[in-house]
Amino acid sequence: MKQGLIVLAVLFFAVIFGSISIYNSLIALNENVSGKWSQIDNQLQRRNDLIPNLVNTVQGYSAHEQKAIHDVVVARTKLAGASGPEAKGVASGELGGAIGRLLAVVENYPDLKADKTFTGLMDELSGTENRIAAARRDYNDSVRIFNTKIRTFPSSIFADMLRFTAKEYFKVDESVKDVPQVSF
Amino acid sequence: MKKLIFIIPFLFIFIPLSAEIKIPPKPSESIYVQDHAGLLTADMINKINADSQWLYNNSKAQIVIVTVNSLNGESIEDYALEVLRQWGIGDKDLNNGVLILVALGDRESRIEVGYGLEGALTDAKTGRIQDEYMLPFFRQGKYGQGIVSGYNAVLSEVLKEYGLQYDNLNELVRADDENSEPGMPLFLKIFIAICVLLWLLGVIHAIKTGKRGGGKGGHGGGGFRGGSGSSFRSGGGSGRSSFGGGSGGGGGSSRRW
Repeated sequence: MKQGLIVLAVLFFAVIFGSISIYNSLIALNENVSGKWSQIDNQLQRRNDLIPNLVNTVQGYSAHEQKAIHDVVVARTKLAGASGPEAKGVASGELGGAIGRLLAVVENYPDLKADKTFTGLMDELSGTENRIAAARRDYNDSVRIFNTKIRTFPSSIFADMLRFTAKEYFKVDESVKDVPQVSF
Repeated sequence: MKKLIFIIPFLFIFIPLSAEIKIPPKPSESIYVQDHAGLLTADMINKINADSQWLYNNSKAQIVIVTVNSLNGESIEDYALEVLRQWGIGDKDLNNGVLILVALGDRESRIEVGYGLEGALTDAKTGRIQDEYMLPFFRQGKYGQGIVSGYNAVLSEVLKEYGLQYDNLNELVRADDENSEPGMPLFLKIFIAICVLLWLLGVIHAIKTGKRGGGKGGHGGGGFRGGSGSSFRSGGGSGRSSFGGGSGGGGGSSRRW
């Protein structure tokens, strides 16, 4: 009888501690995803802020490249209207592609390429693009871990209680995505 | 069909996983210089190791140089980030690591900056450092010199960031300064030519009179100075050095030449 009680008590505590640790790890993973997402958001914002500068500089040198410039402006607006990681990912990929095409056009303007301010701007832009790619990998990794966790037993029970649902991946269509790469 | 659609995002997620990038193994010696492409002299390596060690002792920041022959088909951005993160360059909390990567065969270079130094070394600044201090040398095939002068430019920015005064900092040499060297004044050239001629005449005379070249004997020894033992001479006594576990998010810039 006494032994039975001890076993019950041990089981009871094991369940309690197990629950606490699962609960905590779920919360931590959820926070991790949010943190990784804000990294992406920061970089998207940064790129957003750099674009007017880019457009103005290119316009100053080459008035007849309106098409490429227009594409960038449109893609930027589209990204601003997108909500949720998945939609943002697609819009971000399109914007990256538009910027890449604009920069390819710039290749025809040696004066512009030689401009130090412009070179700096280019570095900032491609640096941001590269950071978005890195942040995207980190974010998607964290989402994969989170989504696996909330679907597997026993953590799925707590995920239901916390109303955690699967997170969206930040996807970029690889065919659109060509990172602006300018050689000097 | 539905199942297939479900699988697609996973395919996408798994493919770009960074673990597949092949990078050089994390070093435990001469951690600040890993010259796999053999572009640097022993003296250069020792000096950089000493400088970086001093910097680490005083700020926990780490500047590392890696040269490779090939990126194995990876983009230099992915490769550099992988090295920075896998090795953990910079302090774990401050993330103040910098990696200067030169891929000889691909003719590409990159300065990769950890999170903590992105303010001091903006993308534009790292691009300018490469444009002004590295690429001009690289184009002339002077890789060692280009790497050293780029390193010094990065080092001086980091020193500025931490408000540090380093007495052994090399003077910054731009490639344009270097270019002026061949154009030395004509009279100097003639003077040197005469000196050489006189010396040759002297040697010939000496040989003829049978005193075979006794004057200069100590030529061979110079190269080995500091070859192995003295790597961390100015290391401030901390003996072993290792990476701090720093990370980054893809800051910096790349160049081709």
